[in-house]
Amino acid sequence: MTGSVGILHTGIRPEEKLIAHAAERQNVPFELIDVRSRVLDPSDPIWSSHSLFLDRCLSAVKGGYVATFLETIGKTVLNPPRVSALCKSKFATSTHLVAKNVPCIPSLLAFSLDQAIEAVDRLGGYPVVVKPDSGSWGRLISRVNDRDALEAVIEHKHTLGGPQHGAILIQPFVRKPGRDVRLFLTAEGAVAAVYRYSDHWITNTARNATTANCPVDEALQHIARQVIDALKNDGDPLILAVDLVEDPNAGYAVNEINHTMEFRNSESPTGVSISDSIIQYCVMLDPKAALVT
Amino acid sequence: MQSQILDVSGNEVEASITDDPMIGEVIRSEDGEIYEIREINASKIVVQRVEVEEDWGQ
Repeated sequence: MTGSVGILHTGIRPEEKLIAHAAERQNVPFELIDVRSRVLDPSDPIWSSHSLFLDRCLSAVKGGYVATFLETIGKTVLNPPRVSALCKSKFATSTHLVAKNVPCIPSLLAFSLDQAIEAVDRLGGYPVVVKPDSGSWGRLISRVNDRDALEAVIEHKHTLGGPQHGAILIQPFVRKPGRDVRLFLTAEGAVAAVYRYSDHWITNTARNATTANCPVDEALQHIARQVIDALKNDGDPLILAVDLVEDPNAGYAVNEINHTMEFRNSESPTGVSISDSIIQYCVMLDPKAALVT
Repeated sequence: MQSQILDVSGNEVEASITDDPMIGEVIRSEDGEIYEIREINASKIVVQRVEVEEDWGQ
């Protein structure tokens, strides 16, 4: 089989099922490829069986390796590994976007308590948010209200965490209006957006935040275009979810970008089939993907 | 009617699966544990408990 979309996955989430159903609806051939079951050998015929690969790995590490491998053997991967690697690091995402004049929550990186104390001073004082540079689902994110708490959090990270917890991302605490915004986009523009509401300051649906439609207005279209311009390189394809906070004075600011985004709670409130949009985008990128010969 | 869900040791797992179950699908049981579907047949679905890894998500 040539053509068809190779959907790379580890554990299958509702999103991967939605994407598979969308491909079936659109008569686009696809193959679900569990990357945990394949040796990354360029001579394995599975890699030449597909003209386009969609990275939907729940594991960011495994997905990163596979995407890089596929790109080196000349395959198109959505998202390209350069973009995935950037998104995997919240700090790299922030510094890259700031360099491109995209509004972001200020983010500083520290390796030690002394550096963290200095970073808090540079950010204007407490409260701050301390988080891992790489991570998801709102895990290990701490609101730190004073120096005592900062000392405790950093000692715990250094004592109990692995080497990756030695990199400490620090941001000012943003007083959100009980919600943030998740904006879905392709390199062509915005697809849909949701508000994520929670009584807790962490507004992640994995932490029980609820979603509602967020109209994609001119301001969201604009920030989508800014993010696309900042990340798109030589026509790279993109399909991303951008998490934004709202500042009543300064407008939207990017918090982080997700390269294998979850959207199970976003299709119903928006009325937009994000899974259909993903498959349509794959076919637009590579019309051969829709053909079986 | 949903098939019986059993772990690899044969113990029943309280969980619901929406849509058609798939090999490799990650599900959460009613007591909050994470399982992955390993086997599907006419009478049962066999799942294995997995630990959430640090690089999972989005």
